[in-house]
Amino acid sequence: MSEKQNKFKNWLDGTYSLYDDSKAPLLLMDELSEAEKQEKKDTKIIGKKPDDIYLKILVYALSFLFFAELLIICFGLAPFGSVDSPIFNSVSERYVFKSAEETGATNSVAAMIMDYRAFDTLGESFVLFTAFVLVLMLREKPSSLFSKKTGLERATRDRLFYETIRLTGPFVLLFSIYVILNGHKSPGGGFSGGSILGTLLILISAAVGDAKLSRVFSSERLTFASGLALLTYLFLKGVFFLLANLAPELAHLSLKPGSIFGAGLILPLNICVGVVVACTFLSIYSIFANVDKEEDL
Amino acid sequence: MNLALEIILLVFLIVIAAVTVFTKRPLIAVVLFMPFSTILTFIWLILNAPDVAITEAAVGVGMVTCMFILILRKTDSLEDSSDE
Repeated sequence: MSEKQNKFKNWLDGTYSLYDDSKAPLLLMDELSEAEKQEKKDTKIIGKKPDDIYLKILVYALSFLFFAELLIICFGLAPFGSVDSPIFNSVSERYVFKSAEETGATNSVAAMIMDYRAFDTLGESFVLFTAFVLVLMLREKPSSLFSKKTGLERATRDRLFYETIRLTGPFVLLFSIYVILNGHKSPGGGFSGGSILGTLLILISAAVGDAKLSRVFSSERLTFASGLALLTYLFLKGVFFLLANLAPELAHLSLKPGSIFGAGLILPLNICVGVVVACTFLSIYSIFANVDKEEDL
Repeated sequence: MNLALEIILLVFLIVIAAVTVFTKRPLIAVVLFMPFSTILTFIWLILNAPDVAITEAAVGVGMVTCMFILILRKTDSLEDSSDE
């Protein structure tokens, strides 16, 4: 070991100063010992460093205050399901009693989020898409989403997991498609069905291997599908929104509450949202699965 | 009957949430998050919100667990936790 390395090691240990060879180390030691003494005094009095104790007391007090405030607000709320509560105003009354007639959807939740507040849902889908694109931008090579180094594949490559996914996968797929297509008739909709589909794709990816799935779902295709679904949503809703305001005769849709194609725009919008959500889930999983330990940490 | 069931589920929810927060092994926290989401799913069902229940089941039990276990693998926390 050379002299320089020795000096550096001593500097790291705190026994050698780069500025003054003769005095600084001693000073450093003195300061250290004084600080240690001070610490020992403190520990004798309270048992711990004073800052920690006060900080802890402050944190616990603030948490308790916040909890108590929420609890008090809870007691001030109207009783569950009571008719007098302020949420039962004219807007919700219209949603409950007129939604089937106006939008053709028997599921009033779907009528709300896909028809009355469709642009709100569009904004939420864009938030998901933006998150996906930002995570993609963090990667150096966005084109090679899946590599040989895989995520859960090695951990879960056992027979039991594979067979379970193989047997239950088709039913989960069917259920997710059912939830998306029947969003306006039964509970569910684009987001629920899309999240089921995305989770199923993640599990399949973990069971059969990320590289195999990437042949079908490459990152370009996923990005393209999400973008296309978002643009379709924007186009459909935007055009019909403008038409309904400028030329109401042209935007007339035949609405039949209770049938699959009787809900106007809700069915295609649900499909668009489902595609965006499923693609985003799978993409974010595969981006994280591809992160290399040695490279990124 | 419904109220009693609700209270039991909520108590379980709070207990599991506390254990999830205060446990020192990450794998236990991640695994305990699954019954947390399952109980939350039942609570949504009791509160007449089946669409939220479907989403909670898919996201809370399936996706979040997959992501967390993946992240534990990536940060070597799975191996570390078994040593303790």
